[in-house]
Amino acid sequence: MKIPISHKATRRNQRWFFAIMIVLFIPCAFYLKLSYSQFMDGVGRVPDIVKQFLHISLEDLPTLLTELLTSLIIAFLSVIISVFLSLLLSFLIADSTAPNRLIAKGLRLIVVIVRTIPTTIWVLLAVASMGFGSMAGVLGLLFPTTSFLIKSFTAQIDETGKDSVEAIRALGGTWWHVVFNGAIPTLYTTFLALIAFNFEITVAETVILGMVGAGGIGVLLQEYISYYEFAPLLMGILVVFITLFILELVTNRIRKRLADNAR
Amino acid sequence: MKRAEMIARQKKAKRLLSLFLFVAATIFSIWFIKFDIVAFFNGIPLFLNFLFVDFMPPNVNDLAKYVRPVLDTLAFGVVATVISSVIALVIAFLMAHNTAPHPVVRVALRSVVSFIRNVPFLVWASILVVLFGVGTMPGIFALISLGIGFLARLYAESIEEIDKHAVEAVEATGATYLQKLKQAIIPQFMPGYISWTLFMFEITIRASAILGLVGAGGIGSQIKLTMDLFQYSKTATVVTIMILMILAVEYVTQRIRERLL
Amino acid sequence: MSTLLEIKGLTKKYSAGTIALNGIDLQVKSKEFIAVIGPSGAGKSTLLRCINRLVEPSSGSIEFEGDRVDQASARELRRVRSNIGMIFQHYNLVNRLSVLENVLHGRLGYMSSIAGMFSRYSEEDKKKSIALLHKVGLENEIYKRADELSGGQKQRVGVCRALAQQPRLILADEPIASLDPKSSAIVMDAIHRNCVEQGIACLVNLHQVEVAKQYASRIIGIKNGMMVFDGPPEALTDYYAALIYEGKESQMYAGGEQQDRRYA
Repeated sequence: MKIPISHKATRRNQRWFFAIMIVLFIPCAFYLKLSYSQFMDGVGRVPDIVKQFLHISLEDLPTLLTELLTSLIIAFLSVIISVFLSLLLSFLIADSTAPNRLIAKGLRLIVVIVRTIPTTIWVLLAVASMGFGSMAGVLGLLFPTTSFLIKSFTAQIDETGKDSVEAIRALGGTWWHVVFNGAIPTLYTTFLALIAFNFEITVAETVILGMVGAGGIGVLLQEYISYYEFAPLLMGILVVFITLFILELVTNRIRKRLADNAR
Repeated sequence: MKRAEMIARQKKAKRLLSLFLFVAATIFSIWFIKFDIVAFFNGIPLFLNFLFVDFMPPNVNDLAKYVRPVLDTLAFGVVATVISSVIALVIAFLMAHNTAPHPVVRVALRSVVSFIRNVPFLVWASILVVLFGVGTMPGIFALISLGIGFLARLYAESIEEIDKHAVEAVEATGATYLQKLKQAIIPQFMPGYISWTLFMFEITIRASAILGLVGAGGIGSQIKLTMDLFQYSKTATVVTIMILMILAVEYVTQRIRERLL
Repeated sequence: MSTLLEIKGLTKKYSAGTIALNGIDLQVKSKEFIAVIGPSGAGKSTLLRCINRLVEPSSGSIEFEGDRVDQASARELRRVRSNIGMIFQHYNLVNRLSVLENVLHGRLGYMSSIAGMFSRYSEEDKKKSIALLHKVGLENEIYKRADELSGGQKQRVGVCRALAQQPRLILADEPIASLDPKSSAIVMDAIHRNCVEQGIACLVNLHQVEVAKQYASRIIGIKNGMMVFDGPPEALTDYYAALIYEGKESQMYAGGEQQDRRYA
C-alpha cells in the first residue's frame, strides 16, 4: 500500500478536467473524419505556395495603403457614432443613474443579445441590407461596438462614478446635472482609455470584415486570395500586421498615460 | 498667479487644438470614403425593418438539417481547443521569461506568435482553404492557428505571474530544470491554464461564424448559405441557434470554472 | 570539529552598482549554530544566497565540504544544493500542493530528473517526511493544501522541507521576520532543536539581537556588506550591538521588521 502524498480535491479536479478533455477529443477527432491524404496533399502544396508568396512586389503597395486608410476610417467613424450612442444609453442603463428601472432592464437585455451575436454576422446583415461598401461596414460595426462600449461604460459608472452621482443627488441636482456635472467629468479619462481599446479591436475587425464586403483593405485581400495572387497577398498581410502591431503599441501607451494621469 | 494663468491658457489651447483636429479628421473621413450621411441615417430604419420584417418569423421547418452543423461546430471547437492548447503550452514555457531556456528562443517565439495573432483569422482561413480545399480541414487548422496565437500569449503571461519565491525554494533543494517546472511552476499555473483553455473553447464557437464564410464548415456556413439564397427567415433560425450555442457554452464553462478554481 | 564551509573575499556587486557584500571571510565548522545579525539592507540575505548560488557572487571563493561552489558546474551545483537546506522569510511553499508534497520537495536533489518530475518518491522518504511533520506538530495538516495553513504553520513546513534534505548545513533567511512572537518561538525552537539533534550546521539571519543571543553558539554582525563582529554571544555587548545597528536601532528588538512596518 503506497502512501498517498497529494491534496485529494485539487488532484481530483485536475484529473477530471484532463479526462474530460481526452474523452471529448477522441470521438470528436474521429467524427470530423480528417483525412490523411487530404492533409498530405495540402502539405505538398506548401512549398509551391511559399515560392509564390516570396515574389515580393511593391506594385500594389499604394492601393493597399489607400484601402488601409479606408479601413481605418470605417473603424473611426463607427467608433465615433458608437461613442455618442453609448454615452446616451449608458446613463439610462447604469444602476446609479438610470431614470427608470424597467427601461433600464429592457435596454440591458437588448445589449446582451446584441453582444452575443458575432460581429461578422452583424456586418453580413448590414451588407445584405445596404449593399457592398464602407457604409455597410460602419453600420454593421455599430452594433458590436456600441454594445461593448455600453457594457464597459455602465460598469465604470456604477463602480467609480457612484460617489459624485450621490453627492449631486444629495444637493438636489437633476438627471442632466448628474450626468454632465457628475459622472462625465469624473469618468472622462477612463472612458477615453476604453474608447482607445475599443478602437484597436474595431480596426482589427474592420480588416477582416472587408473580406465579406464591408469595404477597406479586406476587399483587396479577398480578391488576391480568390485569384491566387500570393505576392501582393503577402504584402497585404504585412501591411495589416504592421498596422495592428503599431496600433497595439500606441493604444497601450495612451492607456498607460491616461492611467498615470488619473492617479 | 501669472504662471497658473498661463498653464490654464495653454490647457485651453491644447483642448481647442484637439477638438479642431478631431473635427478635421471626421470631415476628412467622411469626404474620403464618400460617406453619405443622409443615406446612412435613412439606411438605419431600413436596416431595422429588414431585421424585423424580412427575418421574422424564423422558419423552423429545417431544424433537423441544422443538427449536423451544430455538432460539427462543437467538434471543431473541442478538437481545435485541445490541439492548440497542447502546442501553445509548449510554446508558452519556451517563451515565458521565467521558464525560457534561452533568450534567443524566447524572442524568436514571441515574434512568431505575435505574427500568427496579428494576421486576421479570416486570412488564415482563406489561405488554408486554398491549401486543403473546401471542408473541415482548413477550418480546424484555422482555429488551431487562432488558438496558438491567443493561448501561447495568455499562458506565457500566466506563467510569468506565478509566485517566484516557491520556485526559488525548489531550486534551492537542488532540483533540475524539469523538476522545477513540474513541481513548482505547473501546479501554480494550473488555474490559469484551465481558465484560458475554457475561454478558448468559447472563442472557437464564436469563430465558427467566420469560418462558414470561407467554406470551412460549421454552423457559419448555414448562415452564408441561407443568406445567399435570400431565405432570411431561415437565417434567423440559424442565428438564433448560434446565439443559444454561445450562451450554453459560456454557461457550461462558467460552471466548470466555479467547480475547479 | 571539521570545517564545513569556507568563504574567502566574497564580494557581490549588483548591476545597478550597489555593493551588497564587500570582501567577506567566514569559516563555518560542522554543528555550529551561527546567527547573522545586522540591519536590513546590510547584505545578510545576499550572503546566504551566494552560498548556494541563488545569487551569483561577483568574486571570492566559496568552499563547501572541500568543493568549490563558486566554480561548480550545473550538475555539481545541484549536488551541493541538495546538501544545503534553506528556509525563507516568506516560507516559499508551492501553495497549490499538499503539505506533504512540499516537504518531499526536499528529496528532489537526490532523485533522477524524471523520477522527481513524476513525484516517484520512495516509501522510505514519505515515512521520514511524515515523521518530520509529526515532530513539528503538524500531524493533522499533512494532506492539507499549503495555502490553507497559517503563517507559523507554513514556516514549520518550510523547516521540514529543509530537514527532509538531510543537509549538512541549513541557511535560514529571516525565518521569523513575518511571524508573531509566539509562532516565532515555535519555529526557532524547531530549527534549533533539529539542528542540534542531527548535527546540522546552521546560518540564520536575524534582526533581533535577543533572539540571536538566545539560540546561537556564535554571532556574526554585518554592516554595509562587511563583517564587523564575529564572536560568541557573550561577547556581543550592548556596545557592539549599538555599533552594528547604528542609525537603525529600532530594528534591534524582537519583531523589528514588523514593528517598522506597523509604524511606517
